[in-house]
Amino acid sequence: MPTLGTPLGTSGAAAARTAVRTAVRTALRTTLVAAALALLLAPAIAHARKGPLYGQLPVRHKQELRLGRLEFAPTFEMTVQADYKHAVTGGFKAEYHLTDKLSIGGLMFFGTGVDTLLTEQIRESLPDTSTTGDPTPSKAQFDDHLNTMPLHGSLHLTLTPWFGKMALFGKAFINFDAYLSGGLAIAKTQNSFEDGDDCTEPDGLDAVGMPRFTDPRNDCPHNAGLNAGINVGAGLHGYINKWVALDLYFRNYMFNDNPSGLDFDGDRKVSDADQRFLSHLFFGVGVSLFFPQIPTISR
Amino acid sequence: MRTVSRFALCILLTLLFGMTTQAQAQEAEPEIDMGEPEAAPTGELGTAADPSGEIDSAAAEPEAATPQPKAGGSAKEKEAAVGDARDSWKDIVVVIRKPFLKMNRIELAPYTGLTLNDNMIRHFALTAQASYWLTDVLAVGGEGQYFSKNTLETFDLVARQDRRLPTLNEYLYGGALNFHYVPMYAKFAMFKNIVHLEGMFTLGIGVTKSRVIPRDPANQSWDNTLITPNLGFSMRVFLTKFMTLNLSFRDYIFNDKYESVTRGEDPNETLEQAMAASNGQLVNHIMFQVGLSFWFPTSFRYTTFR
Repeated sequence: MPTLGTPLGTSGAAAARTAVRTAVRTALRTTLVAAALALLLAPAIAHARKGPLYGQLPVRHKQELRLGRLEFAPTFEMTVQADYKHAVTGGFKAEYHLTDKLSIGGLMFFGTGVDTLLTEQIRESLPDTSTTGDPTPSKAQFDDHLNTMPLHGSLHLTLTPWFGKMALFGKAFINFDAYLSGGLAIAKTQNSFEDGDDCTEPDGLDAVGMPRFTDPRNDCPHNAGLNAGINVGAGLHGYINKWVALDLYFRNYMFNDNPSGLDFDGDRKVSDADQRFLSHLFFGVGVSLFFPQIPTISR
Repeated sequence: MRTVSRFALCILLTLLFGMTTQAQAQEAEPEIDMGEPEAAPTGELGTAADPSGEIDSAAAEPEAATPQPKAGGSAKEKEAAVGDARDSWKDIVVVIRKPFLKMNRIELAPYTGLTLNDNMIRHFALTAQASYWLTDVLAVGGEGQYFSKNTLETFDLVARQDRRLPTLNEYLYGGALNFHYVPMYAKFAMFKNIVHLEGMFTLGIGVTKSRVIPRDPANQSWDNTLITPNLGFSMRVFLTKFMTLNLSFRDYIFNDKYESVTRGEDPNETLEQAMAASNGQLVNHIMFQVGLSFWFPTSFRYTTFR
């Protein structure tokens, strides 16, 4: 190998150039191989930096708190933001968890109606008897047209896409899950109107002899009966142990209703046309009991 | 040719330097190299002995909680099993560091919210909140709110069906000084990812400005300045190192002054007399709020071992 700066003879120059070329080619090949190896190894190095848990299941050895279990929950439900009558109800929820995330179930509630603050304020301000010419209802007319919901229930599917663990004050650790639910709803409504629910009394005849309606107060409320609709809900379970959980949720039962039982559409009479598709939002709290009591464990 | 060679050498040096730097970066933060987990022996949870991975937890837990030395095995294994820790990653309790630190950081949070518990009038709020986190669980901050309103169906129905005009006030704006405390920390699995969140209680005191809506539009309205304690509960989902998603329930409590039901009976009644005759009523203005928090500094450093 010639030293840099050393003059070369004519005959040795070609050999020296050849030797240099060979050396450079060898070095180049080595470099390229090393570079290729480094490039190949780089992703592996990067992968290794992501840690030993990279690509693993998010949860191992999970207690299957839902999968294949039957959930039975004595539950209390109460309306949120009802206009005239709160529904205070008690009942149960039954749910079978087909998978960890999907379950099918139903619920049924029985209860009574309780006046809202608005109802009390309106009633206090109304006259004891109605007056001809003044469309203001009397206390009794106002009360008799309001409806209550003594029975309601649903048949629904529930999706539980979220589950996890929660630390309270860094001391207590509980499992929890959050779910979304939706399905069919049914509700029985009733009122205290004495003359039935479906009558619409004409208040006279017009110029061509057709019935004329001017006073909705003497019409039946048209807001009692069995109503079918839909429901959607969302809630969470906080597991006290492996088979008992606190169940908190909001559920909205939506069906045709006219809670005031008076004229809504402005035609001066009460009929089925005054009903509209309304939300009935409930807050529920229950104690869920899961069977079998001992859950399986995932891999 | 020399140029090519130098270029190739440069590539090699760059790669080597890069790899070295990566290695140094890893070494700068001490951590345990756990490597790949060894295949668990037959009979342990979720192994080849039980491909389904489902076993009875009551039977499994005692064994899982206290690893027992195996019967038989080599003399070395027997020695290792007597009273000292095994050199195995399985004996190390893995505690993942908190993914988000808040101490000494400033949180700026725009929120939007709406009234939950009034079926006559609904208020929408734009809220700006700033907090300084004294520790990872305790913060002090302030907030300002601007309200807009719309009336709901019940407001119209009461007037049309019952011939009664509801007495309402609207809220204009408000502000509060708040303390936040975080007693709950949680994580949950969602779509094969682990999401971290926390639960936070808020207690504060501030001021709300309300305005009387006269039943008779010919009458003058007036504004009330109301001392407003508030309490609430929020959930915070950690999105990045400098951004979180917040869901919040707040109860703003104040004694609002409403127009008297007798206003208008005396046509000569002045505004001052109407204000003096107003009725006070305790109001729980419960709002649901959604917002994003932006954290400054935008990053943080861990000061403890992983």
